Amino acid sequence: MTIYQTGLSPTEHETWSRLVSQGISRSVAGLTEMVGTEVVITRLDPPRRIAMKDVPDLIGGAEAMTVAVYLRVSGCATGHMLLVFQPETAFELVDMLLDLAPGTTTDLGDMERSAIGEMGNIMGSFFLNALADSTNLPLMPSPPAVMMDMAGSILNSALVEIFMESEDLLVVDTVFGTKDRQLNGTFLMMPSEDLVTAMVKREPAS
Amino acid sequence: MRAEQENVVVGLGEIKITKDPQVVLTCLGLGSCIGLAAYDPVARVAAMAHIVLPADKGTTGHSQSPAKYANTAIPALLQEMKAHGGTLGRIVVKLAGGARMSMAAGLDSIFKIGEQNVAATTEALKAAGIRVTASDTGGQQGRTMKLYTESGQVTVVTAGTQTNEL
Repeated sequence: MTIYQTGLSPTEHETWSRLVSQGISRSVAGLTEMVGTEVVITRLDPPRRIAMKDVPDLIGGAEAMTVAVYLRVSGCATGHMLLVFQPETAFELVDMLLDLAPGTTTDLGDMERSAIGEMGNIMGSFFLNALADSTNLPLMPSPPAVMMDMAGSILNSALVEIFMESEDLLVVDTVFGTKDRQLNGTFLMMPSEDLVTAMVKREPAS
Repeated sequence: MRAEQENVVVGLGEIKITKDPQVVLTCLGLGSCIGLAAYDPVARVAAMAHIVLPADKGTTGHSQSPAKYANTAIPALLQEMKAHGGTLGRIVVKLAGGARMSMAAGLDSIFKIGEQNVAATTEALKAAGIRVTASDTGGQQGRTMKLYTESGQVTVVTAGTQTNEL
């Protein structure tokens, strides 16, 4: 995978990392509340910039089936958020959320999609609220779109808007899971260049 | 399965061309993108493009990725095939991808790009005098496309189903 310089100055890089990390903490706290069991961050990498051609491999195998919730960010600038699970994990989470016996959910119908979508909604909204608190930037999430498909296909479709303007993108990916490490998911935030600029400029010096 | 075959992945916006009979050109997890497989059965030249967007509207300036846009990918691919001994009249083209990835209110325009990609690719091929002999496009699921250089065979796997020959 080709990894480029992020294009941010050291100060901007630090600001951006801090904002993202605050956002992620808030999202994970929101998720904890929603699923009723403690969810923790198991990995938070520094922001990195990757080439368009490598995007399908971002979550692991491009061909691997995944369940994802996509949220588009709009307001003063645009961005894209994806919450990604292995299908089995997504099914287990649905069982937890809907108070079903473990192993009940084996596919995604309307009810299941809506439960998973709500999780994406919570994580996305909490993330954006944290950003808004620090920067005062008006940012809103779209309604969640829930997909079950190959990882590569979800990513390339979700990021089309970024590709219209650029051939690489800044990515923040976080792996989170329940404390017993039974359930893991990945949260991806992919801002447009405008959003990165707006965030690093607006964040007050601390 | 022939064990000596080598999968070569064609990433977003890339064109890959080969005469090596062991190479299997592969587009993994095509969503709204288009996988274009081109083959000259006489020269045994295989080429694959992974097209991302319909047309270059000049917003990104000069693109580093030859296959990013349908309208630039096709001329570039055909030129490369000619350079490798391919002849326009013999080139067979098959398409996969261009899915419409769903489904939330207000996100429709983003997800319509798949259809636009299919239309732009078909149009660019027509302008170049190339007919599409087979395609598996549209729908709502991702696909993986493979082109076997040795035989010119093209297969498509749709998410959650079996492999089909195209």
